[in-house]
Amino acid sequence: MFRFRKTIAPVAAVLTLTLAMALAPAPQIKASDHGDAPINSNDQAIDQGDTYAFLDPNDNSKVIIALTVRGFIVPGEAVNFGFFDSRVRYRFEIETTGDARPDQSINITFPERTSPTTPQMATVELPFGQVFTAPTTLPTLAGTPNPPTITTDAASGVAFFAGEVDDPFFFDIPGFARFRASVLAGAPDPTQFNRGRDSFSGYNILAIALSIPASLFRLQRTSGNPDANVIGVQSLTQRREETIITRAGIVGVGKFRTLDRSGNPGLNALVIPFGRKDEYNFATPLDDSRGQFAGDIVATLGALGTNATNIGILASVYVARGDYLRLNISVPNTGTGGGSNPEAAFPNGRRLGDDIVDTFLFFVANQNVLRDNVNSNDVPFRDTFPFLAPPQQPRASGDDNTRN
Amino acid sequence: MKRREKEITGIFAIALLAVVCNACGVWNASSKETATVPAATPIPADADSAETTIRFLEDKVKRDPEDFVAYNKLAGYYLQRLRETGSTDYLDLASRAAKASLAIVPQDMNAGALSATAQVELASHDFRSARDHAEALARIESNKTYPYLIIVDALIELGDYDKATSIVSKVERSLGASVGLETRKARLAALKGQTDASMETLSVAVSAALTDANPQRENVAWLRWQLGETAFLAGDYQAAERHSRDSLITFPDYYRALGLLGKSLAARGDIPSAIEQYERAVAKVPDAVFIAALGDLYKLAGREKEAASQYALVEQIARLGKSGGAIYNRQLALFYADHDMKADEAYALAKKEYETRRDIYGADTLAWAALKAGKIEEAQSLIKEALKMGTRDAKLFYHAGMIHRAAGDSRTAKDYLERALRLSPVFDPLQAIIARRAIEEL
Repeated sequence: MFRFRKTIAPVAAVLTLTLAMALAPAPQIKASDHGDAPINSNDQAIDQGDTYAFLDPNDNSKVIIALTVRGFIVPGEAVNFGFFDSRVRYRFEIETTGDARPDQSINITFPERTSPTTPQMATVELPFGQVFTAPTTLPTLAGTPNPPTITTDAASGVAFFAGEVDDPFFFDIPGFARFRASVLAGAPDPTQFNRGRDSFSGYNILAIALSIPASLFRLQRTSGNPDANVIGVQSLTQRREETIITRAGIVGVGKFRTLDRSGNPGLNALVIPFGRKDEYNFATPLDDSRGQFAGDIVATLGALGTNATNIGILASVYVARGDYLRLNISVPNTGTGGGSNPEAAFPNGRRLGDDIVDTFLFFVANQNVLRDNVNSNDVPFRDTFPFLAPPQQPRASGDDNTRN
Repeated sequence: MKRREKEITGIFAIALLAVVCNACGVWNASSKETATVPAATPIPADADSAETTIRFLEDKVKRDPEDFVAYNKLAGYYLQRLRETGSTDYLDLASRAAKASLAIVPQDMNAGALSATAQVELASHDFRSARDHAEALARIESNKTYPYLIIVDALIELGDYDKATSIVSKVERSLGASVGLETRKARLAALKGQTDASMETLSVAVSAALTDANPQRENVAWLRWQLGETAFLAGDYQAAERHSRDSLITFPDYYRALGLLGKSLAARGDIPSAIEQYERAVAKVPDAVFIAALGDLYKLAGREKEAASQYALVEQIARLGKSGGAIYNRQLALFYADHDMKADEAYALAKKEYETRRDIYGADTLAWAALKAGKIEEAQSLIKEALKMGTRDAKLFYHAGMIHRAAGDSRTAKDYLERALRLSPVFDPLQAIIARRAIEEL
């Protein structure tokens, strides 16, 4: 949500233009009298989309956690962008004692891609020392996607998927931008949401998903988690603190440091002011709980018209004990597409189909109904792991498969 | 020997020297280049995926004219196309896509459009705006390198070398090394006269870029071309030729490499082959610099009429160019000054350019134009400014030599002119001859 996903202009692929170009009589040339080195980079590899945490509706003893990263992949870009950066560590932090300090972690790393037709072999480090490897699912430019490669580690019972998927998020960014502008201008105008078109429709994203037996987390009764049934989840993208360039390539050296983090939908992108996003990304849930961003949250939400009561409600979810999704594993999750029963909805963890935007807006509007009118993903989710919908594939001209 | 015979023999000897020295490049270029790069191989063009992507995005904006994400991505593809073809039609398309995107979502929430805008401004030579927009971009994308690359590029064109250098160091420390940063380092090193270091840095960049599983064709070709341009600057014509051919293996008919190949062949005295390459280059992209160079080579080959028509074309392109004078002030001023044409106009163009773009080459262009317009004192102070970074560029030394000559300082004039020719005996096919003649007259 509110993940404007840093819509970067990619300068990666060579192209031939299909537009008819009428050349003027005097050819229009760009002079090359100044340095114009390429301005591409693989910076987008750390751009997080969303984090999800929910119980497998087919088997509530399994916890599904997922992160999405590197969004707005056009179907035709699948092979160019549909792989994982070998210098990034993807990390889930798990909180089990009910405070802001993470208690366990799951790390996923990938070796460098050797070719577009060879899967990368992920290394998955589970809490308490178990490690296993699993291949990614390859992207393709064919009319139908490759079926998802799911690896189940016998020792731990953990199932793993990593690959390109349809972007599960659904939200109208221009509608929200205009609504926000109307509020800041002093005249809130909910009709800006009448536009109701999903800005993420038709695009793909990379995802890592795990199905984990709840027992693996070894939850224990603590004062913060008295029934030992709540798991906090946040995801991070990290790079090593130093990077060196040599003829043999680019190498990361030293400790990992966090470049982007994602827990509850919307906090970083919406509520934290742009000037402090860097600070937020580099901070930790402990900083959240110590109120490092309290002033910003109050200011931003206050400017949107949220009163103290509802600011408090949002703050209790988002930062009071750090920015984690908190999933109660004793609340049953049932239904298709990863679950749909209302009792199990966000802010109880987060399912793919939960309309977190409407939930957020409800509290922003002081518990009045305020909707963005984008109520579901453009394509249906799967009913079994990995639940995320298959990636959208290139189609004939005239049909961009956008169903928004 | 009688005095008169001595004179004739002397003139003959000098003429012979001039002819022989046109091939000096071969002897001079012992290819002292130690920087090595992997052998060049063709890189596939990836045209299909790009084509389906463009179509997807264009269909998308037809269905949803407020799909700002699609506009941002289209801007990026148009900018890449601009890099490959040099056609400002793509610049216009990118500009329009970026503007359309910003009309939907404002820049504080729209990094993609902000990035496209800054890159369009760079390509349009609006360096101040590019810098300002890239700084705004860096504030909302501070965990990324690419905004700083744009800032550094703009600062270099504005002549703010210190700030550019310090940003490169800071970004490398905080965000890590990258091929993009290495190319800016190489550029700054060359500007500071550290040509060997520049070559080394670029060769590391090329090698590292090639380790990518999916290297981008134009980017690799650009790096190899840039390596060649730097070698040419150092007077190593053999290496320049080799790198330009490597670039063409990577990306056949890459127009920048064609131009460099022509330049290298001319420096080695092979005028007919040089003409052939420049003709190929201008057929691909009618670049004003290539056309002027082709005109010069026609002139050297005695093809006066063809030379004249190339020279006329330079003016036409510069004047009628869609983005107009902004992009061409410098080239046109240099062209006029080099050929002793329209001195006042050259001066006015160079002066206008230098108002906002105060890099050393802006000072150099204005110095050269000032000289030809008879403003010797102004030329003297400007050429001093142009030389302040210690750049080892034969053209700068040549201009300095001619300016000091006009100011009556023969000793300094001769020093600079000899320095120019020692560094690069055929830095320019026509101007090098003028430099030689000036030395013997001093």
